[in-house]
Amino acid sequence: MTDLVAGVGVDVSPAVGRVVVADDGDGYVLGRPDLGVYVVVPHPGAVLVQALQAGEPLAVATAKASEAAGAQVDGAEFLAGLAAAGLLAPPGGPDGAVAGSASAPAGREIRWIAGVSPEAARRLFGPVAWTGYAVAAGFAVAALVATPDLWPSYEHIWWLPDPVLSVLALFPVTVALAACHEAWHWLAGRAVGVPAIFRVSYRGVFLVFETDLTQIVTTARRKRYGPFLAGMAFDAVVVAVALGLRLAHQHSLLVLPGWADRLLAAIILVQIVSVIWQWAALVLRSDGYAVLANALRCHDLYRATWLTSKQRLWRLAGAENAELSAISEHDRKVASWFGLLFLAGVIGMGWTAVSYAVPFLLSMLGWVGHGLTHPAPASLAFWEAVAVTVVVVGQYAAVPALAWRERRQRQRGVLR
Amino acid sequence: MSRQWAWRAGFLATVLLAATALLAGPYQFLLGSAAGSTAQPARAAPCLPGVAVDIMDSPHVAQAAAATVDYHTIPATSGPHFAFTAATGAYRRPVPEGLTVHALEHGHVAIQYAPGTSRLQVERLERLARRYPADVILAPYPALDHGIALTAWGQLDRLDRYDQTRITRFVEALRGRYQHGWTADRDCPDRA
Repeated sequence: MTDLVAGVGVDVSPAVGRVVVADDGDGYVLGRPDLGVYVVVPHPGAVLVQALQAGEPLAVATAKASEAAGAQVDGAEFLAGLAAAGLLAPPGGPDGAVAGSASAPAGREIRWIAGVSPEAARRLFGPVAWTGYAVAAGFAVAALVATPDLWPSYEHIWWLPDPVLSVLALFPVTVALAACHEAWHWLAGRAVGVPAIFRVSYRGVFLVFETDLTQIVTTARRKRYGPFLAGMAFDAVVVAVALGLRLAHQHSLLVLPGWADRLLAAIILVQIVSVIWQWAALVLRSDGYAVLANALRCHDLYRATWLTSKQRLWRLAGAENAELSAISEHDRKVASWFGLLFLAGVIGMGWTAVSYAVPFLLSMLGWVGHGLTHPAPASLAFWEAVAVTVVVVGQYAAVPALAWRERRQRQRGVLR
Repeated sequence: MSRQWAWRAGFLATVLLAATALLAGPYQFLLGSAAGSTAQPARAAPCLPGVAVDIMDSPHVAQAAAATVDYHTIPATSGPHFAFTAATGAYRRPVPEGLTVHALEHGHVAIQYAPGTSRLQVERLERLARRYPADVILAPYPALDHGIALTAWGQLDRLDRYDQTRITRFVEALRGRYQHGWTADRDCPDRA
């Protein structure tokens, strides 16, 4: 392995062993899941790395790569390129900050969930299961079209006569549903053999559930749809069950307590807004974005679209020009029209906000405002208004603070 | 450069158009969500069930203040109300007037019954209310001495006992008639 030292300047043998190689259709993905670094190379590059991993010396690996290319290739130069891309860094990476931000978001791994075997996970994502998810989604759409009375309204948030109690009682339900949505991504990842990581974390004061599926790029593209769509499949089942129960209740086939029917309506509201959001928030790299980027066979569509749009509407800085040039021609070609989908998605996000979030927030703002400006300390409503003010002001003050922090991190190159 | 200006113009035009479409439609509703409704004379319509009632000034008020409001009718068909509303559906306990009035302002219909209403009649009312999950609030109303009260925005009907035909007609004729403003210029078709 001394030739590996000579080619790159340091011994990269252990790092080469950590590189995963996957056929991506148009090229081969070389990745370091432990660092969150992935590059796409032509077939000879994959041949060279696989030969090195099989224990061949660099000269033999280069010969095999040359044979695959049909022309002489420079193996040492290729390795130097991989090293420059950060693919041959030692475990943990030379730059702890960059590696950490890309691959290891803060949070606690849930070990008992991580113990689920791929075989067990596969039962939830076989052909029968996917047929079930599709039927659930079809039923939900059909029920909503045939019975518009069941379409959710923002009023359903107040499923109890007390606005704070309504939100507080709904909160653990929404948290549990969000956790299951993420867990379904993770389970689907396990089912296709991707060692995905499920974490509970936080962004500012917001509790978040994250599924780290970065290693999905090491699987064939057709296998990636399952993990990407699994969260929405879970949402579809929840909506279908809730709609089915409400329909049965409406037709007196099943009599639910009034509060239970209203709670189901609130759950339908939350889940449907979530699904709409997944397809509208392409600009936030939602599940819908992942599905589309995969279907369009892109590798870095997000940055390509951002940079292409910025170039059209404003201008690019030198580093941004270089970044755009380094993105594949295919991605740039798709980005030339994908920006319109970004825009359409933002309009969809606006519609969701105007239809649901704004009326809810205006109402709560009015209720809190009146409660505080006409104080009645003997009433529960007054103290609820005080509590809501403290919590909401804290949360919304955190949003610009988080945005500012991210902007600073981007400027420092810590965050892409 | 001209190509870039075309992109900029197209982007701005799309954003402005989308913002206008998103806000122009719900403008009245959003404004109403923040401010409430204003007083108007009763909007009588011979084809509608019940009687028309003068509409009170209907601002949003604090919950404590709503307790002292003197509404025109029992139950109220308009007037000061809470800034948030109640979800439609059946309630086994009384819903505060400030919540029911807000629901009427959103075009819903309230069916409220006296505390002494028989279990059988309440079950029939619940069965009927279930058929209109997006339109009806059903709840007991302690201030009613007997019978059932049907209310929509500016409209009231009182029944001594359960009458499916009459209640159904009220709900179907008056749901969605008001939504922070009248949703149609006329309530009754012109006579030939």
